Amino acid sequence: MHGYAGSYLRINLTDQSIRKEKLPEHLMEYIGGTGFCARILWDELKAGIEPLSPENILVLATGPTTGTLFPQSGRYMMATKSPLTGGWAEAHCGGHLGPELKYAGYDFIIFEGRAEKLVYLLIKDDEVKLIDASAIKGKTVNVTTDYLRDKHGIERVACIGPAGENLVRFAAVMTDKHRAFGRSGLGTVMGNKNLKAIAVLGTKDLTVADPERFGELFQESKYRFLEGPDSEACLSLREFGTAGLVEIENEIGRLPTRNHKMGVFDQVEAVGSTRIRDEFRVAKNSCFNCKIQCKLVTLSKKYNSIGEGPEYETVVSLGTGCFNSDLDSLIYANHLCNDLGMDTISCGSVISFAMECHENGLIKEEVNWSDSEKIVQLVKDIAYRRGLGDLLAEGVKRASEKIGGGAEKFAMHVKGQEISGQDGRAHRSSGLTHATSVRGADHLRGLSVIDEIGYPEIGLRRYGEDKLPAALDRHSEEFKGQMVYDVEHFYAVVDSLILCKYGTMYPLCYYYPDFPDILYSLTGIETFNDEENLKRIGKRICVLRRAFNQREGMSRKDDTLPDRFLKEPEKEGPAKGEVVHLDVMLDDYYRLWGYDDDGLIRPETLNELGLEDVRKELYPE
Amino acid sequence: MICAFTFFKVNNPKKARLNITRISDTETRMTVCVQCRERPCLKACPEGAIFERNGLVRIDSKKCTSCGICLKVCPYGGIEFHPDIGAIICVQCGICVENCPVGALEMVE
Repeated sequence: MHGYAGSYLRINLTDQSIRKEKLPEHLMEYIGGTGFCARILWDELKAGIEPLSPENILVLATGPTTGTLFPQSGRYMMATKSPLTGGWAEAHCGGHLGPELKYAGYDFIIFEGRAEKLVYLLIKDDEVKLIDASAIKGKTVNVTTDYLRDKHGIERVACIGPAGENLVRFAAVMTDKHRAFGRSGLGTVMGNKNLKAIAVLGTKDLTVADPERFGELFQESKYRFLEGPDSEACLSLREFGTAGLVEIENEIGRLPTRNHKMGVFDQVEAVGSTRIRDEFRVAKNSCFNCKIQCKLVTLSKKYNSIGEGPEYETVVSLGTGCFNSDLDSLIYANHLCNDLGMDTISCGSVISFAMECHENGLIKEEVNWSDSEKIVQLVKDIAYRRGLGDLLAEGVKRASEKIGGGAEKFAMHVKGQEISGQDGRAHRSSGLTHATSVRGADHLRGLSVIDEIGYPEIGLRRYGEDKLPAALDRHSEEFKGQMVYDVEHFYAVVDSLILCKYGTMYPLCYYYPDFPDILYSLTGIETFNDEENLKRIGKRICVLRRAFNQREGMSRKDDTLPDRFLKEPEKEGPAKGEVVHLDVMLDDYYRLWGYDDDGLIRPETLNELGLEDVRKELYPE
Repeated sequence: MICAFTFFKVNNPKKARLNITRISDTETRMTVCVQCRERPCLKACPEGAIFERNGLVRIDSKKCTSCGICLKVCPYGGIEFHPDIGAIICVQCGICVENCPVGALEMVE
């Protein structure tokens, strides 16, 4: 096999059995990554399984490009059933662990069951062992990683921190110390399974079907990122990281502030990308094989803390969302989330939720807007489930239900997962994305950037003159169903290959027409050498993930937004006076996907995408 | 990556002739054959697999028996090793320099 490693591991943590199997043929219809996981989770799980139980499975997956010179291939992912939403959970991560897994000879790992005592997995090529983890029980991500590196002479470690062990509902899995499989509770499931870490060393080759052509296309890719029209955006990402988006979003009124109440922050320079770079950045870092290299290493002298970040999302969740303009505490809180193993987005969101609850008399404890010391304290309390942290560790949905008294209206979530750093009132398509994303309130499965940042030439090329200016108008619901639909199946392919969103989502360096040639030269698989077939695979994956949620009972009622976006007009900024008219976008979106008015997948849609077995299970005759 | 791909047509950074390791959050270490004058590797190789051509030290993979002695005597840690190939060293082709996206590498006299 070219590109792929050709095998996978099935690890049963209950009986500690380890099986190495050949990569099944039928999975080629899903490319890799999220495609593999969609098929595996559909086949191996049933409706109603409790996410925090031995019946749930956890998959760590790569794609055919992982570990190869295919541009922007330094990403890998995990999937499971979410303890936050009860539905589809996936998160991607950048770094070096995925490539190392391929060099060891494995395309993915399935974890079943639950270990009786805390264990970790050690992989050195063909040698695969489960080892007692009592020496690292309760240890932070940094300590755990250093321990495993020293003990086994390996560099690449994925692990959970105390948050995952304490079953914080939005616990993350961390790799290379500072990189996160952040969202949807993957760390919680890994903690529930008593799996502390995965350490990998691999020395094998990944071959290429047509090395000459693949090499040519690799050389050509340098132009796209570093010399062509996207080079400015790429170099800005390199200089400022994703935090460069902070100022941009504030300009368009889409910088969520005060628990998503507003879209502009009057102290944006205090937490903006220029200040981060000038006063806190001490080094740069990158992921495997990346041309953009967007990671910042930051130092807070005040807290004596070094680590990576903050990303744009974290500047929102632990900064503007909490009305916090103290950059030291923001960066330290980010470092803490990484070291304790938590999703910064959900963690920040639950803290700003607590702030709004306190402001409205629903929480007695002093949790005030802008209280940077309190933010830092709560991050620790949440990870260790202490005091108020124990309630907040459940996420905004469950915390608001416990608090009652109208707290639900301050809980910014969709399907149970906290909302990321976008606001549909200032960018309509992101409202649709939040409402419909399979993992709940996420932006990475379907964020449309053409209207966000403004790419008129690409908008014109992809949609034609008659669809402009609607397609580029952030404040209009028109045509947004089409745009979200388009990027959803494109990102499904990106998330299966697996490539980074930087280079595909933004900047738009690669799109569908670029994939057949390079993917075929890498793998030699005929069916990949066809743009229409790649689109079809992308659609198949999206529909299969939605079927997973439908099987759990989700439908239109779950594709919604908090009243804040639907009924509370923005009071200031570029989106003043606006709300999201979700229904009209949702109707459009369902029609394009082939779902009925209730958001249920039509049987014909499943047939057309080769998912007859799924149709039979969802609609037994 | 580009080094191993150029010489062996595979994706495998452990077959590269230079080694790059992140030793802390702020420091990266690179080791590579610096073509030193002393050539302890050449003197130590029991098989005569290490030789000089056009003023540059080279390793003949066909003669290498993977004994590992050269790795031990090199004071710069500049010799790389993989069980499939044996010992390998940088041949000064400059492809890594050309392909580093941030220009972190340079050829020196």
